[in-house]
Amino acid sequence: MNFLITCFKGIYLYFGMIAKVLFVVLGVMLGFAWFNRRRIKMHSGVYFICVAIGFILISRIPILLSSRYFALLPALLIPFAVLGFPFATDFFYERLQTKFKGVKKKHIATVLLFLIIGGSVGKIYSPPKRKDYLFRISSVIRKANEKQPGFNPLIIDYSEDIVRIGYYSGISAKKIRHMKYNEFWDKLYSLFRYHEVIYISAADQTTGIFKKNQTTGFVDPLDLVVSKEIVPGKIYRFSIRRPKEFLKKHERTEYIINEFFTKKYEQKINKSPILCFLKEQKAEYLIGKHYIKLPIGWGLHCEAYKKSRRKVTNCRIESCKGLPGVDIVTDISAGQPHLGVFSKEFSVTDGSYFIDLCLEGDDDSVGLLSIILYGNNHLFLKTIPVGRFRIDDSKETWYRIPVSNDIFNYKGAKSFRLLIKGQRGKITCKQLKMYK
Amino acid sequence: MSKVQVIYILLAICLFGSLLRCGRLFQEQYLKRDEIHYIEMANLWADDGVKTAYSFSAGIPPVMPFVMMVGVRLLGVDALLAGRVFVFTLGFFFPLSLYFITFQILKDQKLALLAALLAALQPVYARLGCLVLRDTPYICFFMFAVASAVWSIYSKRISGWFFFAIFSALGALTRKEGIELIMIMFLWMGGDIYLKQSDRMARTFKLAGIALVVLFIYSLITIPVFLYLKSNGSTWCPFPLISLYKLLLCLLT
Repeated sequence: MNFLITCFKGIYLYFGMIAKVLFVVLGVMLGFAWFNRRRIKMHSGVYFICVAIGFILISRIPILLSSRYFALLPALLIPFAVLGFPFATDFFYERLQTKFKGVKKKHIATVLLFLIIGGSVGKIYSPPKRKDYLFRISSVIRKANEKQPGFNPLIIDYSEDIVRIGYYSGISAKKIRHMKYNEFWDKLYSLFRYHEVIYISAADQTTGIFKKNQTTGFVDPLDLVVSKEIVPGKIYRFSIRRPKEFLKKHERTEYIINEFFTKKYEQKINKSPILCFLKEQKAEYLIGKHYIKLPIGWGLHCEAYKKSRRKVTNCRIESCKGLPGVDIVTDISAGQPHLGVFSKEFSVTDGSYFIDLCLEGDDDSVGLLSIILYGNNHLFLKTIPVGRFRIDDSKETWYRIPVSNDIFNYKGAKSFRLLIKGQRGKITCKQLKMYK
Repeated sequence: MSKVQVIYILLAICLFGSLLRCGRLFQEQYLKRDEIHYIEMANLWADDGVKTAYSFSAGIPPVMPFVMMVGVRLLGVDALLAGRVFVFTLGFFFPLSLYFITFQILKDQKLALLAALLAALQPVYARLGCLVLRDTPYICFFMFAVASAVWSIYSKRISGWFFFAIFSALGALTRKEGIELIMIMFLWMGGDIYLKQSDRMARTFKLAGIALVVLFIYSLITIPVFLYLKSNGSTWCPFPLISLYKLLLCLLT
């Protein structure tokens, strides 16, 4: 299989670009042909396709500008590329005939076709070089950390592809490009809130984010930290678990490392239900499953996560009470933004439960209450939505959501958490009670 | 070239495209975010019903999770496998749409077959074609809708617009952007009336009639699904750009 892939990559390297150029050539040929009205009869059907292509092109301009791939447009362009094919054959035939007298049209058509097929097949089987490289990095990182639950690394790279790699592989990934020295450290500082380890792909000195020359205002942070050891193209690991490796040279580096790498900070994490929650949820990648089950866990780069994060900041929980009948300790603190009333071990008795929410917010705001079940060692099991609520009255109002006992009897469930997500508008949860 | 030969060649092209996508599947090491999303939704739908599935993600159009749910619940297969079978099946037929479009325009079998071959080879489509994403079904429905419209325009048969409406509705059930097919139709109709000077009035009536029929069929397919899903917590709407439904509901109630 690897041999085949290598062959295809070879084809792509040689013919991939040619195929792209050919598609453009075919398009240009078509333009000429159309202009001269040599072969295409103007018809309402042709207009229909023109409208379709024009509409798709205009409506997708934001996507095209954001350099995302867009499959529909090339699919629509195929008939036009085909229309250009005979003209391309004619064009090359007229030019080659004078030099090579034995050349026939079908030879040129065959060569064109071969190049298109070769290029397309090569393109299908060959991911971009940088992407391939980043894939390897993510799989290495994943393997290195798969036996450490609760461990959530981040990869930083300068290329556009890194976000997509993170998107594909499930490892948190972030693109940082042309960032000034202070900005970079501020960014890193903020990222350590969510990631125990940050892998930085050391950039190529000419093309990368971090340029060596400090006078330009861009610096290589790795150069500051481990200047002599840096090799472009290799991966360097910033860790909060092994701070000594990086305690060198620069004051600011030391400051950040000291700030984040001490037990004081770890206690901070443990005290913050939000950070604990994120840490554990996102660690799901690394515990031998193929994919994470909770959308919030896809990482900072992920749009779904960003959305949920943006939403939940609109949802504040101000206070909640213990839940008699179930052995639950809540650790939410008043004024805590974000989501969640967190619980610990429980022993469920028969019967149903009720959750009462005292909510305040904008009219027509919508939120969702879910129960997240955990097994042994806080292993994530399942998220079960139990009820959606809508704010009808902007004043404080109590909402009751019944919860069936069956939810807690889920196989292997040892503990649970309540998750409140704001889905629309602004919601403040003034009080929360759960009882039997 | 005889019809039988053309059919054999088309089948070979479709098969070739499917094989390319199968090969690509071996290179896909991880599930994509959206694939995970659909799998989760399909499993929730199969286990706990549509309401739970849509409380997980309210805005997803129903086709992908529904098809996968059917696979899980009725056939007892894995949601991912059900999704892959669906996507590969639609991907298999995709080159046919390009064949029809090109044949209508050029009336040349060879060039139409070449278009089908290019469709099977189209790199972006082939790479997406092995993933359980909405792209493949949507592009397939979109292209078949365009092919139906082009066929209808060239052959001057109204029946093509029925298929156009059906494929547009399927497109809308797959992606929110599906409404764009209806908008393309309106734009084309406006342009066609404007460009053709002769019998403008008769042509306007004819096209308006076609537009009404298309809208009727489109709504007939999408509105019941929309109402059913809306009552179960979905925010998906077949007319996302304009709140026609809100207006309609206001008028009805």
